[in-house]
Amino acid sequence: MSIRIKVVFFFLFLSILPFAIISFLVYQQVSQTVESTAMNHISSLADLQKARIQQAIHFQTINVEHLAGQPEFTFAVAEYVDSPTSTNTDKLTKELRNLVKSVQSYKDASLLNADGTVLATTNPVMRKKPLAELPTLAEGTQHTDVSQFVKTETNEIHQYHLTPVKQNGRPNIILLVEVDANPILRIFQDETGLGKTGQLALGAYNKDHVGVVIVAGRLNPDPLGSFYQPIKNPSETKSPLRLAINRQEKTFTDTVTYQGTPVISSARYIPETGWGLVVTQDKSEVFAPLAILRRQFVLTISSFILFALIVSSLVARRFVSRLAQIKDGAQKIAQGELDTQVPIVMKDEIGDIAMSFNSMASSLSQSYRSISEAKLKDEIILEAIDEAIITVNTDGEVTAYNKKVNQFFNTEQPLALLGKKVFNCFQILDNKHQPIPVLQRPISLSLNDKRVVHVTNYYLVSNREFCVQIVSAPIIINDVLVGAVEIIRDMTKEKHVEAMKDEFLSIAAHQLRTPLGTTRWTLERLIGNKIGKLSAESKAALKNLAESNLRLIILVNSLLDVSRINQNRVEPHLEKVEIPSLLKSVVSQFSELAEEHKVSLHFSSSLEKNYTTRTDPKMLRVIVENLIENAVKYTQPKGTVSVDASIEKMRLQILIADTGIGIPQNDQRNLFEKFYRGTNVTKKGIDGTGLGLFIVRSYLLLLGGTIRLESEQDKGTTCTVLLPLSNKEVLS
Amino acid sequence: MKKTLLVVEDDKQYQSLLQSELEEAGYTVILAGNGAIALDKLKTEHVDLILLDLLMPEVDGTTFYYQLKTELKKKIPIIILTNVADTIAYDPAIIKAVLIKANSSLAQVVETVKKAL
Repeated sequence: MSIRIKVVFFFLFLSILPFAIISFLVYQQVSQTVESTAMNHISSLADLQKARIQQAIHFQTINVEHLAGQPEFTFAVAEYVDSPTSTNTDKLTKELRNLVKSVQSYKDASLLNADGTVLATTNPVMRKKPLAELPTLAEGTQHTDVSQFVKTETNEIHQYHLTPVKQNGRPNIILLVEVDANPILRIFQDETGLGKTGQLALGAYNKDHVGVVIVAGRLNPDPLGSFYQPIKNPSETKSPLRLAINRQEKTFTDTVTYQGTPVISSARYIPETGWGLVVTQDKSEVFAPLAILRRQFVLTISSFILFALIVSSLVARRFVSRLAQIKDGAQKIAQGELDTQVPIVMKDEIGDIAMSFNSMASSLSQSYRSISEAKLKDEIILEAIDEAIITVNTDGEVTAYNKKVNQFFNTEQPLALLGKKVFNCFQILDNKHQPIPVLQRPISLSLNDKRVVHVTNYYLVSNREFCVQIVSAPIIINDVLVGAVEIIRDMTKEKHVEAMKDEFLSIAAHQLRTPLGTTRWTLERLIGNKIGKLSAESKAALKNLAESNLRLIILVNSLLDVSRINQNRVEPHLEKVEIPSLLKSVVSQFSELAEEHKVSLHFSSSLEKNYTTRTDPKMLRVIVENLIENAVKYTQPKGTVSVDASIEKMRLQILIADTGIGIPQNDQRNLFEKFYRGTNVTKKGIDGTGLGLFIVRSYLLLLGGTIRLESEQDKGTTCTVLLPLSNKEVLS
Repeated sequence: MKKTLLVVEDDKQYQSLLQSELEEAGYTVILAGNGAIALDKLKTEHVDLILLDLLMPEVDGTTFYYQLKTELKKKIPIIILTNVADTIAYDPAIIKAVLIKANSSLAQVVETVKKAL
């Protein structure tokens, strides 16, 4: 649901709810008031009409009693009773006529015996009536009786008033006056206070105890038709008339007419005649004001809703449109329009949001700009770098690379490497031209072991093959591995330069060797007196010269060895070698030098005399020569150098220990580097090329052996060379 | 009977040094300035041992060795006497020794010749 609709709902709810509650309460109150007012009204109407009927009856009763008590009348009656002659009858009839004339509503009057026999009458029809049809008074009744209504042949409605005529000690004679019922019926035609639907009705029980209607309501379609007809409404509790004839003098709110119209009604009982009087009014009329109220409420609420809808919708639109501006701004930014700003319409909360949004947008734009600048800078740097750089994700798929990679494929066409597995882009060979399995490739090691891998002299095979140096490193951001970067350097040029250098070195060495060789031989012949006899001094000088020459030859040899090692041109040629004799010959080779340095040189061996193993004798010779030469050179007079051979832990161990000047701790690590020399020996001015130990280590590597140095300055050095034995020797 | 040695060597100094030394040691020495000359000499002369330099103009030592093996089909023992560090794989039945000139004394050369004969 959008904010707009929510706001509208909220407004509606807020504005309508209290109004609806109040309306409801008011309505309740008003409806109760209306109801009670109506009830009071019809109740008092009922009381009034009851009183009027009772008054009318009472008045008539008194009137007839009065007329019956008139001396003239009672005298005429007495005369007749004493002698019922025709004269007296006529007299009586005359009196009766006078009586009828005295009251306007009187129609006829008769005198009856207790058994109903007509004694005298103003209406001759009365004499012909059967006794049963005539109303009568019970024997001994002293009060006046008022009969039910009677319809005459001329459709007039009359009533009989019966009153005993007082006779001293004689049976009752009854005066029966036939009266026009209009004075009472007129009450029922009185519409005062009845509104449109209010009615008065009258009922009674007939002599068969059946509830009958006497006067139906004025709105009844046939008021006269229902005269003394049974009440149509069958309900004892809902029929107002039945409630009335059952003497329920109350006001009811839930009654209905026989036609089913809901009415409120007030019932009264008139004991004099056994009539039930009822005043009813249709609920529709009673509650008509409520309907108006309801309509008004509905109208008001509707207009309120309409108003609230319009207002809230406007307000919501105003809010939402401002929010929508911010939303549009955000979308624009998302689409890359980073300089987007939204208008600040008002300084309210939304204005604050807009302001914050704008400042966020501008700082975003700023940082985006600086990021793009940095990115551009990085890209320029990346492109300027002479190495190919490839980044991959954790699945080994290429995520970025620089243009240098193009050169690897010898093409200017853009390469579609993104998303490809880096392993499928090209192949990597190791320094022996053997393909490297995917899991062993530097980038795999970086991804799997999270370490930096540095390899050189590998080969990359794309659509060409060339020598490379590879550095690969894991990319770890916030302790999470996200990929790896591989920096590949094309080593072709370096390789070429290296090759040229080595070629130069070997040619130069060869060129050097030729004059050195002829010098050596010439000096040998001179010293050997083969060219002419020399003086002792000359000989000594030439010997020095020969020695220097020899040193130069050794230096050149070393340089050649180093260049061959660098060119990977050195391969061990394994053959069976008698170790003790080889070592012995090397040691004896240095006996002269040892003597010169006044150092005692010993050789010991726990090996069998002709102990043989497969190794490269030349290399082993060079190794031992270098170590012994160093030991002798760096040991002061009276020192010792001992060479020992043994089998230790299934390896051939050659120990060269001296009591020399030792190697400073700081130099020990770099000792096997090319041209590196200990700081103490350079200080002391002892010659050396710095190549010996480099060659020793290189050869040992090729032979699968190791060397360990233990040295203490001014105490001495022990070199331990360990060489593997072939299986056969290990077994024996 | 004096043994005849063929010294195949382009460098004049080496030639004379080897000639003097070996003749003093009692050998007959024939000199050849390169492989081609040596092959020519071998066609006419009897040679007991060849001292062969490798780097020479025109026909170098290696070519000479193969030509000797394939064309002349003579199995004359050879001592290679060179200043080049690397050597190729030679038949050890023919090549008796490989000496680096600068690394060997004349005495060693004579000794090796003696051994080879």
